[in-house]
Amino acid sequence: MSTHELTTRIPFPTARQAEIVLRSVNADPEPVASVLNRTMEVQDNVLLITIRSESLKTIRSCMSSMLDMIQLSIETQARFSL
Amino acid sequence: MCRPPGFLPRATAQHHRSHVLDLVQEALDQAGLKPGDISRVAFTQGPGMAPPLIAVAVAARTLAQIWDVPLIGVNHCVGHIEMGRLITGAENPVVLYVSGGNTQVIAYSERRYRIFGETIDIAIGNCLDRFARVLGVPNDPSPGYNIELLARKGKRFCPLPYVVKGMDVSFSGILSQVEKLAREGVYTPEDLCYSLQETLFSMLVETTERAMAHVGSKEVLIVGGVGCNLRLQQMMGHMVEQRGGHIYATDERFLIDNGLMIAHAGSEMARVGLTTPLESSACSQRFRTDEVYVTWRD
Repeated sequence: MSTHELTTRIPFPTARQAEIVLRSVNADPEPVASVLNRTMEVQDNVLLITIRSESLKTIRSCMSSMLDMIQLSIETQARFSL
Repeated sequence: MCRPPGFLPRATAQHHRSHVLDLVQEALDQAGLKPGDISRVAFTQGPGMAPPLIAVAVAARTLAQIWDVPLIGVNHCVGHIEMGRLITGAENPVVLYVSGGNTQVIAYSERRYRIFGETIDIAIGNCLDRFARVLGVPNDPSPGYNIELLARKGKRFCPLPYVVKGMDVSFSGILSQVEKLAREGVYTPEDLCYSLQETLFSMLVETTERAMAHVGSKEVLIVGGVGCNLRLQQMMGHMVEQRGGHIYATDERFLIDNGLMIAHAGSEMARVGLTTPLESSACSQRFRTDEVYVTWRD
């Protein structure tokens, strides 16, 4: 089986906002590291997510979760920033 | 999000995601505070189901960063213990922690809440809830409470497997047997609930008493949702009184899972500098009570 890779770029208004999302969401590792590899980093104001797995279904499921968590961090910032 | 067979992780995570921010606002409003007034953020790091834990952790980590305040990851069981100690004023009790997800007998020793005994399979609350489902007992207000009400009307005691292994307890065998008896229909639901409670609670009283003898403690503190059960409080109370001791239990406001216990434990931890760097704040389904280094009390 071949390894599939999904790369997602999410731009933010500022680098700090991207950084805050990264540190909030990246702290929890994927449950089964052998099945899926996930990395996240910030470049300028862009959040980069790369997911690698032999299973497209696993990639889809992981990305879906990630987007939910990223969305939550964005909303939290929008509502409660000083 | 409680459908047979119990809580579903994904649905629970979605529930928490959609409510957490409103709850934060409501808490601030009720306290008459603004975001800038908050000095720390405490969250439940585990144990529990990972998806809902993570959902709330993401919000907590974000808040800690945007408010530029320390983050504190709290062990759920330690939250129960510290709340129990605060509310009751118990000095150094043996703690019986009984809920849907946990059954542990805990005593404080040398900077750890040591687990002296625990269930080797399912938690007592889980056992009661599953039997409630078999009987078709309603979930409202809680399956355990409805079992307790039925048990009060029980008259006939039916022998059930009593499984204490050293300091540990096992409930899955009892559950299988009582489910079988329910299907056979020889005993009434009231008699089975009564017999089940008497057996389960006796096991807990035995292991708690053994812990008291081992550490030389005369106090017992019951925490966790199953602690609301008055029969358990009564049976434990008899044993403790016979030993010349004192039993502590609060009411359901403090026994059932609540955010205040996490905030309080987090506050105690922060007081002695036990904060959690973001990179080390991963949630853990199996965060054990004795993993926490307890430096905030003697």
